Amino acid sequence: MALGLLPGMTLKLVRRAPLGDPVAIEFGGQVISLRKAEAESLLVDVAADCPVQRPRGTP
Amino acid sequence: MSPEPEPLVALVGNPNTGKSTLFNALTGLRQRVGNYPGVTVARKSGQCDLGPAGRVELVDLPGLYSLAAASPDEQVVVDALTGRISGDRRPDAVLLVVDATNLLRNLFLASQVAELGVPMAVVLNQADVAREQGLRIDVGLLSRRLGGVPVVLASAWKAEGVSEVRRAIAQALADRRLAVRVAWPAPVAAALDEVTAALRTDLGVEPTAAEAQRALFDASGSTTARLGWTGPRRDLVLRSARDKVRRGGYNPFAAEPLAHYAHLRVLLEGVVEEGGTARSASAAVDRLLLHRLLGPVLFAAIMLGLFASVFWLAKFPMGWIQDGVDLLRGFVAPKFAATPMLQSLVADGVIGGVGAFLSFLPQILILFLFVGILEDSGYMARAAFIMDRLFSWCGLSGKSFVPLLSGFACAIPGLLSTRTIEDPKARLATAFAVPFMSCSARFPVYALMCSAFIGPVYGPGWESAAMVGMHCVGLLFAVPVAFILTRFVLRVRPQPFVLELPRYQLPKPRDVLWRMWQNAAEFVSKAGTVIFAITVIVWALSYFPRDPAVADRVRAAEPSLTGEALERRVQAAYVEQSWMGRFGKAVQPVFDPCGFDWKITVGVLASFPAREVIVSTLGVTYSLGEGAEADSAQLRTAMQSARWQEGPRAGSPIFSLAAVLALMVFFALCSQCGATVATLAQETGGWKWAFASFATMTVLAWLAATGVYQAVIRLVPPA
Repeated sequence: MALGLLPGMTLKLVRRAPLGDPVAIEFGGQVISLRKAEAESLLVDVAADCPVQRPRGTP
Repeated sequence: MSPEPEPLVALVGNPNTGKSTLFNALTGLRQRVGNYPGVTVARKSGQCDLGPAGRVELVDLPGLYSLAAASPDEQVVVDALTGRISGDRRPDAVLLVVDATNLLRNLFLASQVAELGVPMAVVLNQADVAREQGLRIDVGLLSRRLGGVPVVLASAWKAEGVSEVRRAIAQALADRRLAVRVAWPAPVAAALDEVTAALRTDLGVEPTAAEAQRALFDASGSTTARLGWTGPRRDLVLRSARDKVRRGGYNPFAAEPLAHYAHLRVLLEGVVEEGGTARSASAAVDRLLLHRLLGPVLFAAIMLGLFASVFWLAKFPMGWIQDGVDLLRGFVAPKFAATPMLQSLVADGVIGGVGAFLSFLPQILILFLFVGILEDSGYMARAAFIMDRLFSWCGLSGKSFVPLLSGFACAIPGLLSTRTIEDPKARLATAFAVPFMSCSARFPVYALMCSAFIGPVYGPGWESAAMVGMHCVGLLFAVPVAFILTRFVLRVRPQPFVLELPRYQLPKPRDVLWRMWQNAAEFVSKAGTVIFAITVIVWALSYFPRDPAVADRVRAAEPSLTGEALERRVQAAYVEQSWMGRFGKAVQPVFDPCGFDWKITVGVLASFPAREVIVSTLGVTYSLGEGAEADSAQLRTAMQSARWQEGPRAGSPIFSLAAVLALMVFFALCSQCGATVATLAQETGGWKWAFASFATMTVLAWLAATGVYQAVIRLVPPA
């Protein structure tokens, strides 16, 4: 949140680490690394223009 | 000191904003580095000349994203800005350093700092990058929107706009203007009032707005604990206040950033004009360096290259230092010839001990240099990103990687670099694992043993295999130790690992070199004094008591010996009956299961200040004089011919394969390094963990050495 990850923002999964975890996401002009465990607590809608249609776990 | 102290200005900003570069540019390296009391967070301050407005003291606070204090670094910032650090003044103004390419996120911190009610000036740093990205920032509009606080564009890297920054500081101090504050939504404002009232009645002093906010918004409770607001009443008040926020439709732990960001969105409207293509180069570099297959390969190559160059580049200056020390010893020793005790203290104790310590300085400097380059370029965050998975399972994170890697050169810089780990428990666990890494001081021990006993008997192939194997022993033990420590002792909860992957940039040589120098100076002054003390103590233990009868007895027993050979034999006899020698003999039964005789035991005990001391100690006990080195042929021959004098093993060689392997394994795992123990105590804030580390490593070393010795004598037939 302090980094400016706010509701209604568009996120982009930029890449995964070589061992699959953590992942790098881009938002608001910055790239942030998150572990999957933390990324899972984000509630995301898959954007209509997202190339990969793969909804993620949304607790 | 003038009676009127210079105004204090605090530098605050997000990480990766070029804050330290700006600090160096403003102070011109007229800096002092100290420590904040009680925590191992460095306090960097320096004098900044504002021209006609006089001088100010500038303090560079650790980089952070939010005032919600989680790590020791963040707590220090909050404490420093609220004047809650003992012996430190409350800053008269804050210079907020902002990345001009990402105003929204960076100004979040500014918006939080505004709540503290300290006059502020804002620097939009890295203006050159913003320009390249086609961003146009209306500085005047931003300043007006912020309530008239000075806002300037600068590029500390290119030394642009630094004089404007000085003027902005002067203006902030003169006008004392406060930045506009966020307008809290009604339910949040009501809850804040409730907390403020409760704080006022319970503590008897008027709390600041920021204190009330931290109490309400931070789940950790660290602020209330520091305010001394505890007990069930606090929990009751906070629960009721948070309920009020919740009923108003806000999540109490998300309301703060939401309100600030909403406020900033409005504030920034029309301030930044985007044009052209944003971000490009960094993404392209990441495509290569973070490639799923190529990334790890390049990573391994970079790290191996770093490690190898630390080793090889340092070799030459290390040799010079050693030569210099020998020269100095040769020059100084004759001056004390009249008093042999003083001569031995100065030549063997002081010069020898401090020289051995200083000879590792080149490695430390080079390592700090490379780590600085990697950090400033932005690759360090990528390294943590790549390695995180490997460390997360045992409770550590990718940030533990660099300290552990540094440990292969020397544990001290490794321990110092754990400061980048926010979570104190993860930091402690990493610090605990670092000394297990096979540092370069173990190298002479391995080199002596392998070249004397493994190479001649089993061939050079096994010799190098043993060398490589020994470098892995520590790693094998460090992983389970870290696992047990994080899981069962410290109970580290999985920490959120949120890390910015900043833009790549060219490191500024002055900054990197300056930080290398500061770190090295700190290391020498802190660890050096402890090492010096330990060295003198160990010297005294192996020198006293000096009964002249011992020398007479040697002369009487071996009348054929003369000159230097006699002198060496006398030295050996003295060591044997010194406190250290007696202690070694008394303790030898403990090390008997590892196959160590009393001479090795004395070597082990005497090498507490530094592992490599065992080589010269063995030199003395085997009557070869002080100058013995790892490649000394004489020492090798003397050790090869050493036999057990008594006991069940009488007549068999002391340095059998089993004993040699056991000795190397012992040295791979033991904590025979005064500097490491001292640094560990300093970095963990007390001797408790330093002692725990020493005890754990010594016990593990003994167990492993015994295991190896007992296994090898049973399984491998004598060669």
